[in-house]
Amino acid sequence: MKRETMNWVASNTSPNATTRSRIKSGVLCWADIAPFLSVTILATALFFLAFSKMEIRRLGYSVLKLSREERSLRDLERDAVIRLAKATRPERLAMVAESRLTLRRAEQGQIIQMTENGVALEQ
Amino acid sequence: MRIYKSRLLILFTVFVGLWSTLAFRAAWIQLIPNPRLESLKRRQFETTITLGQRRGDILDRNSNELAASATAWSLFADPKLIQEPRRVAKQIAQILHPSRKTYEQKRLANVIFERIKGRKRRFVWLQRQLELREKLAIEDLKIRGIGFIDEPKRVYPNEKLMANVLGFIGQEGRGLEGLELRLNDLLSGARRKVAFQKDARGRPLLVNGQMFTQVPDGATIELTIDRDLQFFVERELSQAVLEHDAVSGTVIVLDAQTSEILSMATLPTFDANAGSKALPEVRRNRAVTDLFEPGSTMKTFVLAAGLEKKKIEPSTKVFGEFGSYRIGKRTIREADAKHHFGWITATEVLAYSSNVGSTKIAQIIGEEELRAAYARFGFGELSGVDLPGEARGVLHALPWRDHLLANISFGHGISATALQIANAYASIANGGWLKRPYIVRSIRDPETGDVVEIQPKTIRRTIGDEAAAKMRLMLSAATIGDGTGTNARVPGFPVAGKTGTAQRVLEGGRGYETGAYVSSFAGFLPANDPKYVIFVSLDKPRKDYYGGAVAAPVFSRIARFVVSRAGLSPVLISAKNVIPHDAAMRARNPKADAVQWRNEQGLLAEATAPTPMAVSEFSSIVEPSLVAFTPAVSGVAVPDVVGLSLREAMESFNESGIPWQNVASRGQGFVSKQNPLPGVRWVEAKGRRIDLELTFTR
Repeated sequence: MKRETMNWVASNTSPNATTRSRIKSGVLCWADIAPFLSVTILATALFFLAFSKMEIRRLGYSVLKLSREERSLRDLERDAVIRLAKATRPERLAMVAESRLTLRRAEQGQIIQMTENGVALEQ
Repeated sequence: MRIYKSRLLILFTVFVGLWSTLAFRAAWIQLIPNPRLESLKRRQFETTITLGQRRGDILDRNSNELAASATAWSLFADPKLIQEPRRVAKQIAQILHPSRKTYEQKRLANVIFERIKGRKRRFVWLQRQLELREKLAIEDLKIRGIGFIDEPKRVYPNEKLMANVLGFIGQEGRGLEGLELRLNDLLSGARRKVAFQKDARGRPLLVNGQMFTQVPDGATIELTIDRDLQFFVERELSQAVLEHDAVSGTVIVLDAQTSEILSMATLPTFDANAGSKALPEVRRNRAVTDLFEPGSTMKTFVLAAGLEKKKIEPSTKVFGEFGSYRIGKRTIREADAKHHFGWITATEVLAYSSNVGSTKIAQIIGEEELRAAYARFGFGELSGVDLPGEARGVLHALPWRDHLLANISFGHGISATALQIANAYASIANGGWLKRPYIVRSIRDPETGDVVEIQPKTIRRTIGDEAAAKMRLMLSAATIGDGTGTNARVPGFPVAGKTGTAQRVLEGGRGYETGAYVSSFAGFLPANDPKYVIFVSLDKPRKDYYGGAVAAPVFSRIARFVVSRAGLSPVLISAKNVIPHDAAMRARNPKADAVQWRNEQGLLAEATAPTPMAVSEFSSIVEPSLVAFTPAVSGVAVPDVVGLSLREAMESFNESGIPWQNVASRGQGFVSKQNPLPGVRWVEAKGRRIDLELTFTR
């Protein structure tokens, strides 16, 4: 009874018939394919395990490559920050203002300060 | 046949036995733990590296980089692999010296060629600490046999700016001087070791890629220093040192209320990027390491002690002995031979820097009280500033001989650092509290982002509020009239301060150097509500030596910059510096000429009527010509009509009480410009009008 319920189709053949004859007759039960299925699952699992390990390794290399890229980008950023700091240092700005833009330092009398009452004072 | 079979069986047995042995041995090796094999495996497939963390940055109070770390690349070569070494050397030299095509480039090419021409060595350094662009350019050449090793590099973008304060690091990455030394543990952070497996080519088999990228950097330190102010201060100091042919100079700018160090400049200085090449005497931060006899700047504390103990008042008179006062075998004289004072007030003792007067007041106070007062102001002890190498100073133990009491009363026989003096003046400026001077404003943790703000710390009370207020007034007297510090004046602001001209102590011996002085000026402003304390000293100026002539002008220039940078509103308004509104508005026009405006407007005299100055307490001591009126504010404020239609603008003027007849418009649409600007007081007068410029865009 149990066996019959496991059949893919209703079996009207003799239980003693060979697998080949049952395949020929188009009738196959779980017990017939279980060994093949087990081997297939085992092989697939092993293959998947190997594939996963390879994938982890491959991802590891990718992460390594990306981490190096990130580091180089950080280096670029640091380099840019430092170059900006060098470019905007007060001494350089003063030199550019005086030599290239021909500006002069503000002298006494050129700076006007405003009091809180809105009175303008010459410094 | 039987023999054959038995031989076959023996052979089969032998082979089976051998294979069984091999299988057993393989199983033994694989399954049974073996320490020797374990270590061999670890050595072959596992490795541990120490990840180099980035040293933390040092920033100013506006987050400008003062010291920063970056990666630099050092170029090495394996001479055995290099083809055509002469061509390679020339190519590299062209990249490293792109703009110098002649001598420098050829010299470098020769140096590189000498290193790579021999084929015996497998590793030679070609150039250390290259920048990124140089590295990329060399990589583009695709030369076989060269490579790069990255190394940390400390960069000081401002080069010489405050190099004595920042210090520098050594080749091992440890701070050797200045803040780099003092804050080394914070800046360098913790080293991290990472163990991982590697493949046959030595590449790491990553479990977590972030372990390489998330390396904790050193802490970021933000200073109380203002970089732009520091630059201005250093430039002024440099000019003063040159002008007076001085050996060295020091300037300190403190926040008067908190003792934050806003600027600390010493000369001579050096380029922090090549700090190890500088001489030790150039590298030190003289503001905290060098002791000197301060001279007359110490008289302030004598009078403060007298006021605190209520033994004198600002108007208390002492006899000046006409400039010569004999104590035992010694004679105290005034610094200025022209001074022959009779009876002078305590305020005048400060204003004219009378040595005899100061001695007399010290005698009234007594040595115990005077020494205690000096100690309260922080002399003879470390200030606790977060800078290395601070000197304690010398404050002699009691008892003092009579002449030592006299000497100490005008700043000889006692030594102090520039920072101690500046901080003691800050104590008077802030109402009598001695605070710990500090230069580190905050510390930011790179991993968590947490910021630790450093708070001002009060050490002790030096004098009471009342005595401090009196001292501020008395110190103002030195910069008015014919006081010694008139060169320290700042237009619009009352300045309190004291000059100092001290004989220079002989190096390594007793006595004083003939004709050598330390000229100084210590003061704060605005005197009525102090915001900044500034101390200036020049060591051994040769062209002039009075503090009032050498240091006070530097104080004045720095103080002007400080108050205008801070946007402080002037409180002293005189007929000499007030400008009517029209001129002030026209001053916004860069094409106009300020001198012409003044002439056109007939300036100043037509200013509004004088009224008593808001800071009435100064009116009794401030020079009449400099003082002391606030022009009465009349008229109505011009409303802001920019963006309004002409009709809306007219309504706005009408509501403000400005008749529409006084408004002139040009163009159509909405008001885009107006003159006078919003907020300006407007008084109706003949020929005066409000100009509006209209455009079609709102």
